[in-house]
Amino acid sequence: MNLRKFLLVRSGQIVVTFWIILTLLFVLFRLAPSDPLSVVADSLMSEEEIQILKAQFGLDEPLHRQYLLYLWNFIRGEFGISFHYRQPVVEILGDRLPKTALLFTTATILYALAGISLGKILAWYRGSLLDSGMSFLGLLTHTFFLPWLALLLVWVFGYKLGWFPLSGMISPEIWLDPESGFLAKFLDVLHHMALPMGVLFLTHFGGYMLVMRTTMLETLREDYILTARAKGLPEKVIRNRHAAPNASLPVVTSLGLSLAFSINGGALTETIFSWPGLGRELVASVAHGDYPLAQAAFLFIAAFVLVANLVVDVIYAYLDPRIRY
Amino acid sequence: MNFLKMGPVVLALFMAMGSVPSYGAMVKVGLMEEPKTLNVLGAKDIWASKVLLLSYQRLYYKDPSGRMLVPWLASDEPVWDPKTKTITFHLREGTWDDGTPFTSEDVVFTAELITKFRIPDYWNNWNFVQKVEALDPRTVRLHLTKPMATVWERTLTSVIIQKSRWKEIAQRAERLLEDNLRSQEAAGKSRSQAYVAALAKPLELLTSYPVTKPESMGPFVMQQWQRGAYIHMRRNDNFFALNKEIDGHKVGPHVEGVIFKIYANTDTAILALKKGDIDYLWWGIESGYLEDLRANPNIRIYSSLKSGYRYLGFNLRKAPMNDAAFRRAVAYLVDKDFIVQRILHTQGCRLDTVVPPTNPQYCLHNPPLYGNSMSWMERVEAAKKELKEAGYTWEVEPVAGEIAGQFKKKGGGLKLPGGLPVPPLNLLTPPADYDAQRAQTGNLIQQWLRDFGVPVNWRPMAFSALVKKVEAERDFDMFVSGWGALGHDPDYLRSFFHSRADVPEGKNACGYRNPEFDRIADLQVETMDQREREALVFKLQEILMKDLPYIPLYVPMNLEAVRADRFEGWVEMPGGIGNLWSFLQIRPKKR
Repeated sequence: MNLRKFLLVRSGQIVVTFWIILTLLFVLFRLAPSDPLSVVADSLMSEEEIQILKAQFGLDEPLHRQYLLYLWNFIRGEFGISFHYRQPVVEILGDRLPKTALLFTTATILYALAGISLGKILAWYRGSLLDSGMSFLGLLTHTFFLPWLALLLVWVFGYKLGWFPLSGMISPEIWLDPESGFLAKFLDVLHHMALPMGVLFLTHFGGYMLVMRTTMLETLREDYILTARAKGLPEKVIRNRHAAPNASLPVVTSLGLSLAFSINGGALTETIFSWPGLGRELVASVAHGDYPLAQAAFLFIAAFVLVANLVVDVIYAYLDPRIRY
Repeated sequence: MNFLKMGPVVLALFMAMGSVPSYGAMVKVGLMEEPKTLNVLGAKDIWASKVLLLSYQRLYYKDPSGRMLVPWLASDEPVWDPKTKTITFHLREGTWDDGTPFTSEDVVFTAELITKFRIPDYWNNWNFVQKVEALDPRTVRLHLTKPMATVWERTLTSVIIQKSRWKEIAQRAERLLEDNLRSQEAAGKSRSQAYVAALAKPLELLTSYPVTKPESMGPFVMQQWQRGAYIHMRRNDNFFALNKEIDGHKVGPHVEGVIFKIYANTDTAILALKKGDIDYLWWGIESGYLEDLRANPNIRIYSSLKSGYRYLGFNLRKAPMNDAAFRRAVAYLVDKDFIVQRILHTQGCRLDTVVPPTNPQYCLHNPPLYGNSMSWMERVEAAKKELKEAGYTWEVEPVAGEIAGQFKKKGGGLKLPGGLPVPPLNLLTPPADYDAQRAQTGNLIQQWLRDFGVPVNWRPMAFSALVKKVEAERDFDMFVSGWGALGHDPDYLRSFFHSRADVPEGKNACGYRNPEFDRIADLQVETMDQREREALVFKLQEILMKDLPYIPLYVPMNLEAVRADRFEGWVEMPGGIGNLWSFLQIRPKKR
């Protein structure tokens, strides 16, 4: 199969998968035991006012009509208006997504790069004190319960030592100060990112490091490494040019998917650090039965992951010349 | 490795940024969520209402005692004329934040917008207002279709919006309404059906109209809403009451502005308060934090009863809940004092009627106290007596122990008067992570009833699922729930218990039907004389406490914390210190 045909077949599969996800999302939200009006209707609202709200949200229509309207709106790129924000869903996603991407995508790249680099080194120095120590540390931090670690770091570095802000993305004191320039604001955002990034780094780098270490160890036993050594190539070249690229193939696949999933953020991290991202919004919209927002967010993530899968497949073929479609 | 070596450098840079400068006499307030919208017509969340409280003002406002209405945008007391069914009042001189004068046209515009588009949350308070007339720029007359006592506490305390700001969008909504109405009527719908159907789109237009800088007649004006981070409001120099005396209170504001900061979890918000990042956390704190906060000399705790309550509700459509004797027996078994002591840790009070004590004007003074001052053994005996007299029997009759909540012999096999066994009953509560007190109360009631021989299963569930089961599907036997800020007007009794409200989406989830209650409930709302109305509302409570569709349980305490070293002058009102008076009175603390 050539690449063009492969892309065509996979695109068809993606469309079908996406339609299934689209339908499943619609059904699952309606099956959920929550009432979308329970959050917006208050105790003093009359039955008539609630009926008006229902009509306004389109909840007075029969389910099959709601489904058809949902598909039609999707085809037209209309994701509707959030029940709670009274704002177009696209605007809400457009606001939250970059904030999530900034924190989680940056963190993912950092911990993956660190994990891969460290894993490579540990495999090279297998059995050394560095290997044992870092392997233990990687395992330990990988098993930390994220909320506990996050609160601990907030307490120590945010509250007790006062090195970092406790939460949020920016400080009003800096952003409201007319004398604050771009650099001050940029550094303020970085300052706020430090603790959540630290938590994400600590809980994730170990996984990459240990996987990379294992695959690297397997690669180092390959015949072509022996050949490279026999040719008298420097150790650094053997490690970095011959062993590491081959050993990193499974890690690259994992990284591609992690990057794709990084856009849905992490509800726990975002909640603890009051990071105004998509993860927190996703959980809240599901809990409150804000169908338009929750559906659009899930659809966006699903589309992103499906496309990322395709991209990873293609990249894989380029990285490994043995694979052809 | 170079990448790893950068870590310490970055860390050192951030450490250098450790503390940011403080920002003058700005009061920094912590919120647990961001307002969903600042469009006052579409805002339905409490976070928006907190922020908008400082911009949009009302004709009348509660005085700090919470008992009397003070003319606010109005300049005098409203005058009711029973013959013409009109209310007339005058307005203060004042300007909006953009400098345009506030006139009676703004009041007329607000009323017409609400009634024409039936704006949810507002319309209920205006739907009996036939016409609003601007007699002159400072005089307004409301023509009512019939006398409605809720006009004082609800209609006249509605927010007023600026005509010039909303005129254009209102015209667009009106055109949309007319077009929709024509097409709905052409589709064969009756006028009233067509009107409701035609409202959906114009309402969407009005309630989702993006507002980032709401107009203000209040003490503060929106400066900046940095989504997900903070909201900055500065002092409104055009505020009509600035440095004046209103109802004997010298009014500010005495601070430069307010910054609302968003915290998504309580632990971090409490740390922010302790650290001094915020001056006030506008959210009730759990009693578990009290000890830690009290140990901090810079923090002051305010406690006040909430203006709502928690209750045990019954589904009166099913046996045995449809039997008042059964409900009274349950009332004897539910030890409210025990709940207040053990679950609320005394941060609340027991409740014996359906109007909370934060509303002393309408709260029934001597309600029947089921089991109060009785020993546990006496309670159990009283409950048994109620059931036996109604014809219930047990396979194993319970025998109370001497310790509260204990039984020497647990009951079992309770049978209905006809001899059929009492079916397994479910008791719904919100989960502990939503409200631990309600969940634990449900668990405790389950235990008391089970030991008494009533087969009850406690089922905590997501709050929105509970609302759906109770209010939409009516699929429940008993539930522990609560009402939040009920306001001062007691007409909610009509919403909660009138047989007309026993319809899908109606608030009478219990299915309570009592013609005598309905008659008095309808009468009280049309009684404009306060003394007469009070007597009728007391009568309603007496009926309810005899029939017991709800067993009122307790009123939780609202615990709030402020930085005592930064600002002083917080005003305690029923419901807490988060009120307009506080923001008008607080001033930086002299050092």
